[in-house]
Amino acid sequence: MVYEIAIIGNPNVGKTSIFNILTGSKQYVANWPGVTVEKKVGNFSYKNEKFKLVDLPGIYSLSSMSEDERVARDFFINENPDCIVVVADSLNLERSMFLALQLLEMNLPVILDLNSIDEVKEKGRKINIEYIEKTLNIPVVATSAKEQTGITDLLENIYKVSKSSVKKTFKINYPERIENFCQKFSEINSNNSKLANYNMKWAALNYLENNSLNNLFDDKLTEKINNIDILPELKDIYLQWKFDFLSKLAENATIASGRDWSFRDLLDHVLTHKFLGLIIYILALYMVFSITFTVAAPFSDLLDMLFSSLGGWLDGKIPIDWLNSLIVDGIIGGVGGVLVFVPQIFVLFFFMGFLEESGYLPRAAFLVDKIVRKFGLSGRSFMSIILGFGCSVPAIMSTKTVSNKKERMALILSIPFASCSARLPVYIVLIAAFFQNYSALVLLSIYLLSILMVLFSSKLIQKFITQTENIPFTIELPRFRMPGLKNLGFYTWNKGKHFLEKAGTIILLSTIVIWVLSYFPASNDIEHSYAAAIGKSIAPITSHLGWDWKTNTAMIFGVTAKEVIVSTYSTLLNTNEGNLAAGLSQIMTPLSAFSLLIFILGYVPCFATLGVIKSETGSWKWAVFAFFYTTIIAYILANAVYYIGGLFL
Amino acid sequence: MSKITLVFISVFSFIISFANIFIYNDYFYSVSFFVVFLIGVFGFYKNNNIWFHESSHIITSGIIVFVLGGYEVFNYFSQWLNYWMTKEDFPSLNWTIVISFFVFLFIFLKEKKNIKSKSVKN
Repeated sequence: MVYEIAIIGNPNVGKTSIFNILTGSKQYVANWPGVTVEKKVGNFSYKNEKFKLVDLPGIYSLSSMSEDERVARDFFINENPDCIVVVADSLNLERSMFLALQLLEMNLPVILDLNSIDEVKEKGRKINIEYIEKTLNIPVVATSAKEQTGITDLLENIYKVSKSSVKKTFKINYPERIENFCQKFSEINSNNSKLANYNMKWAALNYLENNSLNNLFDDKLTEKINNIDILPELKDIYLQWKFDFLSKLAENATIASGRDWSFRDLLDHVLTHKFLGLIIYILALYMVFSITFTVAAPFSDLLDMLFSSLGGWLDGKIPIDWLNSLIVDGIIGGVGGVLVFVPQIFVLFFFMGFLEESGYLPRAAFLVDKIVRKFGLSGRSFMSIILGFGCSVPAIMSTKTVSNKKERMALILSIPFASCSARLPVYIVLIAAFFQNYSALVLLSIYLLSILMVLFSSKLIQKFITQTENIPFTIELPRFRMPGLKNLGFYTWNKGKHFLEKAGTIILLSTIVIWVLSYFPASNDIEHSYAAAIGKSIAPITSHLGWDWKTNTAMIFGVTAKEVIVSTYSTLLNTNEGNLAAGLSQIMTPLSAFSLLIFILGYVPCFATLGVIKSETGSWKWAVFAFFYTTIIAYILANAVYYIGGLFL
Repeated sequence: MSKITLVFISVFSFIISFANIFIYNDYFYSVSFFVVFLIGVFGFYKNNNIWFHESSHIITSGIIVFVLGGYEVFNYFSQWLNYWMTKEDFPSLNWTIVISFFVFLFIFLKEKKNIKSKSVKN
């Protein structure tokens, strides 16, 4: 027999860390709320028994306002797990217990796991575990995922609760009016077959709190229930009772000495300052971009030398002319031209990972909440935008945590403007060719511009969506921590390997196609090749921007993957990275290059992004819309930059 | 005591900010130290709701300078790597950052001790 165990808790309390320790899996753990947006499954054994562990999204309640809350609630109702581990933040008991209480009201077999107990000790506090156990009548364990302590205790309790045929029940005395309501609610619904799977008391309390099960009651039943008592008044009594109960529980269970402070509090006081916080944030991003150039450049040069030597060594050794050109100019020149940017990609991910892991990145969401509200978004949406700097696919998927449907739709269609890492090699080549002295500053301005593009696009799209819904933004700022090298390495590798995979698949394939098109029909005259014909076909709409046919061809093939722009340039200019910058400076002016950077920032999402837009919106029409919408906006902006810039330069 | 430290941080970081323009022509460090100067200045404003307000400004400015120190070390090593490969641009260290690092390390440790004693006293 396999016992089914669910693991749940508020966002960023360490659920996935506990999940990884128990199952030995390597799910990515972030110091960032909302990483788990879909359930993940793992297995483990203890005392010869097999367990299936389900990691559910981090949520604050089961009120099912957003999709992640709905996933969790439906799981408990439909799956009926043998045991539920509620992971709570030991430093924030009161808030963590709200969700635990909702699960206990469903009468589910709950184990309360007080995680981050090491940080409680660091703060000079103690938690009275026996008091919580006796008050709630459930097993309580203290763990530290960071130090891997208390895990055996947790396993032992999972084993006992899962094997036990008599499940402990949560008994608590609600105010009399609430108890009466629950009693009458049960009587009215005794014949309601739709409620067969539900714990009647929980259904009554849920009805009172937010009525997320409203589709289970017909009009007649609804009328009867609404007549039991004055429900809005009763709701206030219930919620007040709940908050009082939890704050008393947390207060009585925590023993503190002296005035409370931590480094996190000290840092947060300045880093979340509305003025200082923002400039420090921009400074941090600038530093990351600057390091991306300085630290990675020598490694990039080294790779470039390797590919050049390899190409030089192979050139002429293959007797068939076209095959020699395909391998040396096409594959080594093209794919190698992209691979030389591996150090930059990895360095960028490493330091972005550092900011994320340390808990600094999510603070941006808090800092910009007021600003982004003017664009119809919330701080939570801003976290999806930052995620989009890595890849648009997980960023779009992370919008599941956005409860407001109008906001979510605008965000899904605007996230492609967030500058994903696939564009980075193109930026680096163009910056190296035209803006060498201001490299970090130009890159920072592109990223800031990409944020503005997402914001303005969201505002624009929301103008066409009539539905209005205003849900307040709440964010749990993660604690500052020094990122572990292992997790950081895992993060960097996970994000960076995608780039390597693409180099071996789509970039390689595109490079071969581009080589074929540039080699034929006249092998020695690239100006009359098929590639030139393709590029020249759109010259009427690009030549005024100073983009020649090579740039046009690179843009067209960049639709498959943005990195292909670099490999196309390498093949068409017949150069490697170092010479590529020199080659590019021959075919366009700095102003043309800057307008090209703006165009690349916005135009056409990659196929994977279009696919995820389809799956998240449920329609291909939105994916097609995103395809044309982003390209038109990018084209307009590129023109604006070119002509306005021309007035000054 | 914290007020004197804040005065020192403001004056010192202001000098370093200008030194980076005139000696090293480095606008990034100049802006960074100007931000540290602002953190020091903002620390003077009273905040009755937060008892560790002044300490917070001192500690944060210290941490920012540590990060800048780390950045300088990274930069220095990458310059060496570059020099090793190209034999061009001999590496140089920005001494204002190195000096600031040690000055702020002293301030940081002193303030850490100070805040610990403050929290126990009350």
